[in-house]
Amino acid sequence: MGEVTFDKVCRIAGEAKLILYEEDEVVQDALFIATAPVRGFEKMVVGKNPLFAVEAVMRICGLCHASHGIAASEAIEHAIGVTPPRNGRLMREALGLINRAQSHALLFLMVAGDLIKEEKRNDVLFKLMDFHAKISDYLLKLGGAATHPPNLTIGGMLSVPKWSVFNNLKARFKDLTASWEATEELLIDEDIQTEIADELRGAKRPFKYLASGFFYGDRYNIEWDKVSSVPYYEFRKEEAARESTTLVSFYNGEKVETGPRARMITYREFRDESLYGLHLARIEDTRLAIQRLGEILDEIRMEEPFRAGDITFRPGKGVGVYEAPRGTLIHYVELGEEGRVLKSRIVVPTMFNIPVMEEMAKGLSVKAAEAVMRLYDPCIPCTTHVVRLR
Amino acid sequence: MLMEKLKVLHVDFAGCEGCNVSIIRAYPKLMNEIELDISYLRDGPPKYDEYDVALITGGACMNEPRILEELREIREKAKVIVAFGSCASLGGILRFARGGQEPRPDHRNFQPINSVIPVDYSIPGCPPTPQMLQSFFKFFMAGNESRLRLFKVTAGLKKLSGFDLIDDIVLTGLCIGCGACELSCPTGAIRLVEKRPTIIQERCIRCGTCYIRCPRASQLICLGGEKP
Repeated sequence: MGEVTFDKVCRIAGEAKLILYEEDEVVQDALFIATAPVRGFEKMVVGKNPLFAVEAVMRICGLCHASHGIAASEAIEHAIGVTPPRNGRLMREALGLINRAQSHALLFLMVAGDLIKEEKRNDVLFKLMDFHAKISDYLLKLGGAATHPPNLTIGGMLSVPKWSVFNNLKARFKDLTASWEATEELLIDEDIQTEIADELRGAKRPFKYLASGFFYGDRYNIEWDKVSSVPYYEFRKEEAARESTTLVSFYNGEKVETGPRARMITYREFRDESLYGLHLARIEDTRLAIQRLGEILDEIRMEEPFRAGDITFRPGKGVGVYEAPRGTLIHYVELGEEGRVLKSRIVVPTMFNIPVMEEMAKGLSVKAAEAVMRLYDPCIPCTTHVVRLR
Repeated sequence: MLMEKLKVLHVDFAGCEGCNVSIIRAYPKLMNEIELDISYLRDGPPKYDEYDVALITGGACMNEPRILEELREIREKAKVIVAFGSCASLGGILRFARGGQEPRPDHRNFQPINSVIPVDYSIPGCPPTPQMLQSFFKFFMAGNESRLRLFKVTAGLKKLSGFDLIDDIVLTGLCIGCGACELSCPTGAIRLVEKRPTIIQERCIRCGTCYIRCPRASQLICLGGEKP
């Protein structure tokens, strides 16, 4: 059996190594080993004020910043018994959806190298960059920054954009939609796609899915006790796996896929279970996110509050679940004396997806297997910051 | 005059990808001047053996000898090293990392890049805006050293935070109450109260953006050449 090693997988978020075991050019097994150092965010926030915890966890990842901020805020609110008002919740949903579109746009840019023919690649890249710039501007205006939005906080919004900002964003919404439609057209155009795309279209791989909601996420659709995590080197006993700096997670002891395809199949009438379907689901996910963003902009009532009043930090336990771009993101928090963080646990979607990615690579050609790793959009910065669950 | 494009390498160590996104967003407007080699856009290992500029994002994990080795290799490869973002230039949020987390509890010490190799320019921010990088290259290509002075001086600093701003500028009476710090803070940790900044301590992530953006503080470090 031959072994193909990619020391640094290109066009993914973060540092990872990929080892493929092949026989007659067909992949028999795969090892996906994340090698980025562990920054230890769960330990970092212990003893700190919950407000710091939200700012800190947003820095876990520069791609799904708002998602971590939302999940952490939800967990802390659950612990102290606070619910954001209607406007606060809507704004949070909007920030999360903008983040989803941003993250997906970047992934499309990275998989363009696999799925789209070289001569057309630059067209797609420019369209995606244009779309990314436009959607990022929405986060800048609503969230306060294009990355790590500071307006997102416990209880709702820290500061509220003026009504004129909302009007301006609404007026520009058509332009945003048009930019996405032009991009989408190229992304689904089968005439400009490579052979890898054809191979993935033929690979039907139904799997067990995990999703907690479509646009937002719901802690009552997930049972926290059923989530288990082990270090990667305990999951895969191969010598090379020892280098890994991640944990992998299971739901109910089983491998589950989470992400756009899981959401689309659970909550929408989407039935393409091929690996290419993952790409299609992500496109659809982006389109619906933008559509919903438009609805939210219309639903904000400027005269109502954006943040819950009387927030007092006190001891308590809470779970926050959010549907991040890559799938179900779970934050668990315990607050102790003076409401400071006593314990924090984070389970990110890529932890569920790593075992699935390795499973999916089997039976594909080497090139397609590498592309599949990218299609699952593994986020190494997120994955390497997570502690073991008991 | 037609000039050869600058060869720019981007390398990330333990970053959150936020700075990478900033770099990729800055790229369309820089395409005529620089050739950016970034892992988001290429297929294999870095294209060239030597580069004009290396942009480094993320902090150095001192407990991982491989990373220190790689940093030294990049110093050899590139004529100019730019630390981009607060983690790389001043430590930023990584200043709070203290290890103890599985599966690698030994990863406990993260330092800015200039603790390992000499850095030529530092651009703090969490993340710095794409415009920051665009203007950096504009002045860099033009050889405008006076405009780059702030970045050059910052390259010699290892930590800066909102607390330094309060100590050095506000408490000494140098603050003019312009509000640049409040606007620049990426976490909303600075609020102007009675026309003077006050710091919400639990929100400060030690990124140093306020210090660099403060007209008084930046003047101070540029003129004196070092932090007071």
